[in-house]
Amino acid sequence: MAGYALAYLALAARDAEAACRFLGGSLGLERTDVALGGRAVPFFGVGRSAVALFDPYDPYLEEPQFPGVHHMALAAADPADAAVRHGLTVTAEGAGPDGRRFVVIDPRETVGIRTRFIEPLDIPSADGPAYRIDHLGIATDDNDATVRVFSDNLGCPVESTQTDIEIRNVTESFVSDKYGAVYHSRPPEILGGLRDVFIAVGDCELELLMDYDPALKPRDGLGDERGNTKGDQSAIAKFVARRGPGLAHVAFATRDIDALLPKLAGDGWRMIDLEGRPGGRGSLIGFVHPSNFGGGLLIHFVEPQADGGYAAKYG
Amino acid sequence: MTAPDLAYVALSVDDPEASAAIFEKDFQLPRRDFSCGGSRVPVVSVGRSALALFRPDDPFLGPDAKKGVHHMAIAAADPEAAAEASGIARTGGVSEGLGGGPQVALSPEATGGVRTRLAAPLGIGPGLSDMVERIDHIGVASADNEAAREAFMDRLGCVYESEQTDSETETVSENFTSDTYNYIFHTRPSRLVGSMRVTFITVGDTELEFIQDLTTGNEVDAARHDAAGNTRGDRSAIARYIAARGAGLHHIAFKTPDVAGSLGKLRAAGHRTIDRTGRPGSRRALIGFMHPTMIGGVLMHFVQREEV
Repeated sequence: MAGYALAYLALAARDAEAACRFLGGSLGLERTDVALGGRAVPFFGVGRSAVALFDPYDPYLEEPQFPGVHHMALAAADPADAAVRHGLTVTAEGAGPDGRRFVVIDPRETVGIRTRFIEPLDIPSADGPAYRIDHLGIATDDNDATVRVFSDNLGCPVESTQTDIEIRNVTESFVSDKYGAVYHSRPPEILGGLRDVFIAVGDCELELLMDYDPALKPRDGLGDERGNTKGDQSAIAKFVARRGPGLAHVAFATRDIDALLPKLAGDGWRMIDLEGRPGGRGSLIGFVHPSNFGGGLLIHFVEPQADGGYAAKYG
Repeated sequence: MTAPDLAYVALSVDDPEASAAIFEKDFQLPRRDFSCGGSRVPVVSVGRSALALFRPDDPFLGPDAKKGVHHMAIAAADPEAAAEASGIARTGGVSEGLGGGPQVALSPEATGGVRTRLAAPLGIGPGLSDMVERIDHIGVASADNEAAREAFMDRLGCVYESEQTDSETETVSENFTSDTYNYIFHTRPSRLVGSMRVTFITVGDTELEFIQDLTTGNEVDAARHDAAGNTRGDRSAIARYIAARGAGLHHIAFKTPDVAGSLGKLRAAGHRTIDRTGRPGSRRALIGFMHPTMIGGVLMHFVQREEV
């Protein structure tokens, strides 16, 4: 069960120029302009993979086109053969970046995750504050079906699973000068939650995010306050309701999130989080506001447990 | 100056006759009717005081009366002399009160918004049933408890009973349970979501309960009249009431030996209740709300507590 590695991740931004400044300038990712159909597409090497930046209406990106994480391309020496071997339907094929042959897989067979196979690309990367892609966030309403496709069929191993819950505890106190004090705690209330499955694709993971309980209503106003699990759950629920399941965000691994987030704010980027907050897999996470790139493209950072993460900050 | 008694509490209701029938039949309280300005006013004895039931358009209440607890009458053998002694401004001269005796109305601006009359005692017997012992308190949506203390204690001679602060805090925890990585249980700082200062001042065999919202910076929650209440909801209710009507009489509470049992009896009689069982309330009590539609528009609750 060897699985597949991520060749590149295609991002679509309304303000691609700002996204290039963010990735190449503020994060210092190494940029390689790759020829594609008579033009040059900026690729940014990160870890053993790369992110490619497109205009949302670039002809290389199939419909429906919108800003965000458009598709992921898995490296395969013979893309067409890979699709056949796994019994996946090809909806388009051609010569892509640097003339590499690729096939587009019918997203209905990959639980909405737009997936291509492509001949390996060799995009150089340099070490820096974002040293690899930590994970691709996937909003889904069916973790099991996604595991069947990417793990059982494509052979990518399940890395770990996790449940996130946010709970509210309320205490009422009545303190009288004659009747003494009464403290009354109400039963805990679940505000929101997610069920997560991580599936390894090369040096990063697919992070499947499924609503813990669809009966919990999404909440409005996400993005104007610091993030939390309830807000994340709302974001996933809203994403699935609007676009259906699929690629929702990209997260870069960093070694010191509490240094990086204020630095990015200092560079003029609008940040949702200014310091690391608890995230999946013992990590700290912090989000960049999508408005920096014209909206729709959601990026966050992860300080993995191996780099300190939650335990190093909160004990 | 001896501490004054409460003559009666005037409720402004949709249908005084129907409401009186509920107090008679379901609360088992004695009723006696008084004639007042040509109309018949049902009066229900509760403890050593009474509830008088008026239609909102009864001229006895004055103009623009809304449904709810309209005014209270402090017993005074000579209302004019009592008003004079208090030094509180009046809204008119001596007029004919409930039961035919004299009455004087005090200016609500000088009494923390509480519409207060000084009136001759009604001279009716006490009211006591298995469900209700007496009026536990009359709730006041208050903007300034200090001003209320000055008016009712310093000027009208009522006695201080107690004061308390009610607060509701919420604490949110995030809990990430992985099969591979460290377990995270992360608790964010607690947040004050509602707080009230509550001052009790004795009038006769009951208290005025002045409820002042201390968290005016917090947003008021949406109406919660169909959900069991809490401190956060209560302070929102007080804040909304003051925003809509100004400070003044807000609700009436009955002392009962068994709040859950009394709520159950009312439900069995076909009435709606907000709470089904007692929840913590002021003065080390269990409280439970009836639905304001039961007595056309008046918010009422039960109180079950030991006397200290």
